Amino acid sequence: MLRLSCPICGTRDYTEFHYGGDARKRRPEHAAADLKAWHDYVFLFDNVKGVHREFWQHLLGCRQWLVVERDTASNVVVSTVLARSAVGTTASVSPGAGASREGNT
Amino acid sequence: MLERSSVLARVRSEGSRDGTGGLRRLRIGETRDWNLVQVAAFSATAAELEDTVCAALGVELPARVGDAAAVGTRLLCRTGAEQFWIFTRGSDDIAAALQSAVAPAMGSVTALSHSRTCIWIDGAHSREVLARGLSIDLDSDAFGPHSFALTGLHHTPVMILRSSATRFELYVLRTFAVWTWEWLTDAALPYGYELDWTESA
Repeated sequence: MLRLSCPICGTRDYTEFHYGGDARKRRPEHAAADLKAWHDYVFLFDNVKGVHREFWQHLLGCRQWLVVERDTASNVVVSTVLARSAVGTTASVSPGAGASREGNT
Repeated sequence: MLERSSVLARVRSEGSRDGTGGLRRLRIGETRDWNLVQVAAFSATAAELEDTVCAALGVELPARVGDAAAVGTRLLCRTGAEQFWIFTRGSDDIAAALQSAVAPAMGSVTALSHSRTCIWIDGAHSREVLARGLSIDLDSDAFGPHSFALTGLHHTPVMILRSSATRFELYVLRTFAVWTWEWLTDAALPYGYELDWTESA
C-alpha cells in the first residue's frame, strides 16, 4: 500500500491523492512559439526507474499540491513538500491535469 | 429567505434494521439547523485574515491544522494552513458578518451550509462501521472527541468529526448524501441500527 505524508494533514492513503505529473518538467512560457518544446512537454515522458520527482494533489484532504520524491521501483517515498515551497527548486510551478476535479472545498 | 430542505427526505420512510441476534446496536440520523462558513486567505495575507477573524468572532483560532476549538455552540476547525471551517447552530449565521469584515484582497468567505449534509452515527460499534470505508485511524488515541479530518469515503470527499467517544458526524457533499446514507446503512447492517430523526426537524 502506498501512503503519502501530507505536510498539512499527515500520513494518508494514496487514494486521497491525485497524481499530477512529472515535477521535473518545466512548462514552456505561455507565449512560446517553439512547437517542439510544447510537443516534448505535452507528449514525451520519461519512464523513470528509481527516485522520481512528481506532483500529487491531496484532493480529498486539504487540496494542496505536493512535490513527492518517490522510488517508482519500491514505492518508498523519500520526501514530500508543498509545491509552493518547492518553487525555485528544480520543480515546475505548474502541476498537470486534475486541478478542476471535485474535492473537499 | 429560502427554506433549507433535506436531501435525505426520501430515505426517511426507511425503517430501522435488526443486526445479528436481533439487536440494534447503533443509531443513525441526520443533523440539521447548522451553518458552515469557510474562511480562506492567500498565503501572504494569512496573518492579517486571522487577526480580522479573531476580532470579528472574539475568539482565538486553532493554531495547528487538524485542531478544532469549541466556543459556545460554535466549532472552529483549522482545515488548512490558511483555511478554516466554522460551524454554528440555528440562527447564528456568521457568513454575512465575516464577508463584510474580510476584504476580497485579504481572502474569501464562503457559505457552505447549503452544500453539505450532516449524517451521524452513534454507538459502540460506530468506529468499526466507518473503518470499512475510511482509511484514517479512528482509534480514540489518534482521533479523540473533537477531532476532525478531511478525507474520502470511497473516493467521495467527506469531513469526519468525532463529537463524542461513540458518535461521529460525516459532513458530505449534498449531491453524495443519499449515496453516503446508503453506504452507511449497508455497512451498519451486521450491527443493526435504529434510525433517529430527532435532530432533523
